[in-house]
Amino acid sequence: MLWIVLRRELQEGATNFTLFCALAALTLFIPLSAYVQAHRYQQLLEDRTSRQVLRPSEMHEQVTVISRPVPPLFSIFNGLYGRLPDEVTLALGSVSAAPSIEDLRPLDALSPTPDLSTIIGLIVTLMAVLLTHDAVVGERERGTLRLILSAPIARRMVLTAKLVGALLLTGVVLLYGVALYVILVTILGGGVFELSAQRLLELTLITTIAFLSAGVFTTLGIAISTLVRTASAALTLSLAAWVAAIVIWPSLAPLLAASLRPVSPNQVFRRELLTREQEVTRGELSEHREMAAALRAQNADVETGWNAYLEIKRRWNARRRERIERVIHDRERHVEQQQRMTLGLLSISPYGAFQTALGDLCGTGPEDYRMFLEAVRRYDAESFIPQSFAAFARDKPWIQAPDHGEPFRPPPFSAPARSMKERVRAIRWPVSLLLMEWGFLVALAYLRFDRYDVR
Amino acid sequence: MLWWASSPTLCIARMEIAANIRNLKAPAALVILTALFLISAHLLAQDYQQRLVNWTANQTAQRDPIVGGVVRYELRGGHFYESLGVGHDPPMPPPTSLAVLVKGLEGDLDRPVTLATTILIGQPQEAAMRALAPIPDLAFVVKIIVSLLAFFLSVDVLTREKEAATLRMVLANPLRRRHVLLGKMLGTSASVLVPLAIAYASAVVFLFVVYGLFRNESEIMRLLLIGLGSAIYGLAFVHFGLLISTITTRTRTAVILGAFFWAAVVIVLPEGMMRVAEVFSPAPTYTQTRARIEQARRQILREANVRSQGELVADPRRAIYVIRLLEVDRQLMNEYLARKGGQLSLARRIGALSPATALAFGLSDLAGTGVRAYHAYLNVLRAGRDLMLDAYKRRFEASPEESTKALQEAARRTASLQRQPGSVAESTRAAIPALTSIVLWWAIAGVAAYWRFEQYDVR
Repeated sequence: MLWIVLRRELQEGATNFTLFCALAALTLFIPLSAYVQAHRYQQLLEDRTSRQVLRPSEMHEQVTVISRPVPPLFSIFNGLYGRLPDEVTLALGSVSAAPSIEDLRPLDALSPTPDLSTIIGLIVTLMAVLLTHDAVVGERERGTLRLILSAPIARRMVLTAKLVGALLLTGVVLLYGVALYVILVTILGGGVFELSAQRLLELTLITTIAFLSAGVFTTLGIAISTLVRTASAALTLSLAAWVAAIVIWPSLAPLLAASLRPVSPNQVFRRELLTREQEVTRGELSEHREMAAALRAQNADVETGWNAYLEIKRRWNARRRERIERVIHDRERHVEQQQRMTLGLLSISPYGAFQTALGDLCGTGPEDYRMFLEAVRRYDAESFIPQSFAAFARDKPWIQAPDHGEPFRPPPFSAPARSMKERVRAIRWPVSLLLMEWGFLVALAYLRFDRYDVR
Repeated sequence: MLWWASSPTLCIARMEIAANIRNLKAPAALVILTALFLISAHLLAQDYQQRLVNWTANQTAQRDPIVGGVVRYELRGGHFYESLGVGHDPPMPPPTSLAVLVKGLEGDLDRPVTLATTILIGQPQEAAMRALAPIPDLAFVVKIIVSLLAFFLSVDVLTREKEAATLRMVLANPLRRRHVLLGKMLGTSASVLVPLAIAYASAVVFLFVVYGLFRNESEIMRLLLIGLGSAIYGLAFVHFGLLISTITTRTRTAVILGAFFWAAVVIVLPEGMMRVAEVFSPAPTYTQTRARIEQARRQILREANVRSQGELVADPRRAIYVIRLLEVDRQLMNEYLARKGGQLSLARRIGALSPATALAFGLSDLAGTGVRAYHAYLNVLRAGRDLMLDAYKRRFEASPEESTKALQEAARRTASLQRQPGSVAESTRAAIPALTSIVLWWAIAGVAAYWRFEQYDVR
């Protein structure tokens, strides 16, 4: 019996103008977005190779440039990659991993590029809301609801059929959008985006999360249609809810997070940092001056002098790290807390939850960026500083031989990667919020429909 | 008030406004717009205050002394030296108060830039926070929500009356069809413009009273112009919606077609145009430019047969190579800045084709955060770098003390180069093409709706 009503729902939905418009919209927007994303991915890779040229080859400089590898699923969700400094310069004398220089991007400031998450988030959810906003109330106005309910079928079955039908249609549109996007990016990207088994698994997971998020909007539409008296009121309420979920809440969440977990302004922090560095520098310079004067008085040999000099440098580098690192860590912890709170609050909106989950799944979220910085810091402390200091010590500047031994080769850096299991564990919070919202809205719809007046 | 009741057009307009209030569409528009404008104003005003704190700290830091020095170890058998230095962050441009309403290109300009013999561009401030969830400014709310609400109010104006069978009753009266359509245009426009005006006024008053912004005359002029631009945009979309209403027969079809059209014009077309501008006017990235400069530098070092730039600079016989280095740097950076500026100009010209992009460019120009301001900023960068470069080149002709003094003078003048906000007249002139294109779209939609309604089937 359910199947008959379900088939009717599907037939009505499939011939609906809404569905046709949504599919047409996706067919229109996705090629443009796929082209832009593929082009941007290629440009990012080109930029990375360009940066290798910038690595200085001069002998007396111990500097290395580490750039974060582009996450393979970058085209699905741009997230934070490319917006935060992804290239870090480590130098022997400096404590912090200094972010490198950025590009001027005026067109991006005016109109940020949509990726798949934006397209799905806007079009599929809008379609879901428009499709279901008059599911019950519209049928009542047209007079067909009493006809269906006069058939020997339970009330709940009718609502179940509507729900399942709408979800199936949303799923089909979503699948179409994702498939079209992935195929186009693979073709246009020219091999930068490979469809391996691992990638397909990740894409399936992403599509599931997208379906959960779009499903919330579908059930929202149906719930609204059981709450109001007229179809146009249902339309107004549905659109208002859509605007609230997609525009209003994602703007308010960072404000709340910033007031709950404030962070000191950037320049104030930089000034404090520089004040400490200046203290340390003054101390180091004065000790160097004393040592130079003492050595000259003793008429010391250049080798002895070099060793004494290295000792001073080693000691002061350690002190510099100790004094300044704490300040940097404190601020980073505050920033991290604020970001976590922002993402947690953002997940209350289904669209926000979708973006939060995608950030973790695609490797472009704040957690991945933090892991990258952690790995760089560890590399700096454990491999780079000892080896580069040793090379610096070997590299005696008063020896003018043209062939001065080997140039300094920095130790290799391996970027961290999160396993699938870790990623899935990270998206517990947004997914559970989505499921809770589903449960609430479905229960609401059933409860209201049980006592719905069909006249 | 006889004139109010006697003109048929105004009668219809009054009926339309009353209907919009009764079915709660106009009140909903008022509530949504006021809420969004106030939220956006509050968020961006907080952001502005934080940027002001940032900038003040940055300016104070400019006066901090530079700590550093060189220690020479003169020993038996050789010598070496240690040089250390800690400076301060380079200066940042100050935030503009109108960016609270129309962010425009301000986000891209809000970065520290070092102007020496080359231009070193830093990263935008607070990138970590901003990247997670960008704050919508008033221009964004106008572009997306006002157009959506305008559609929402106007797209079923004719179809709902046709379905309720009241349209044929209205036309059965001794009225010309065009009076009916004009009345509906007027009524719907009023239902959109009045909430917009109230919401805008409340946001401005909120900013004025609570945050103390907009206290001088030129800012108030700009505010009025921005309001005018938003109103024209709203009107254009009202007439688009009416046009859709005249070509559809059922409300449902009209709503869906309206949503689709809105998404195409407001979301897809602007994006497409930016990409077209990128494709037809490509610009290298900063990294690519610096990589090319680095390659040229290595080439010159090889030709001069030295190992490092320090050796080159120290040797007065190699002056010509140093000058070549500096000139290559200047040329490549100028090319980079010129291409970026050109890309932006092309985007603005193409943007006139879509009302949404035209609005973005127009409003940002009116607020002083638009393309004109961006070009002015790029010019400031170039001018500062040229000052420093010319002073540096003189070291080969003058004595060391004179050249040091010249460098210090150039540094002082560079630091005082500020981005000029430009006058209101200049901003208006820059925004006129964009606003004209929106007015044209409005006219086209209105005329097309008028023409279609003459043959509209009211049964």
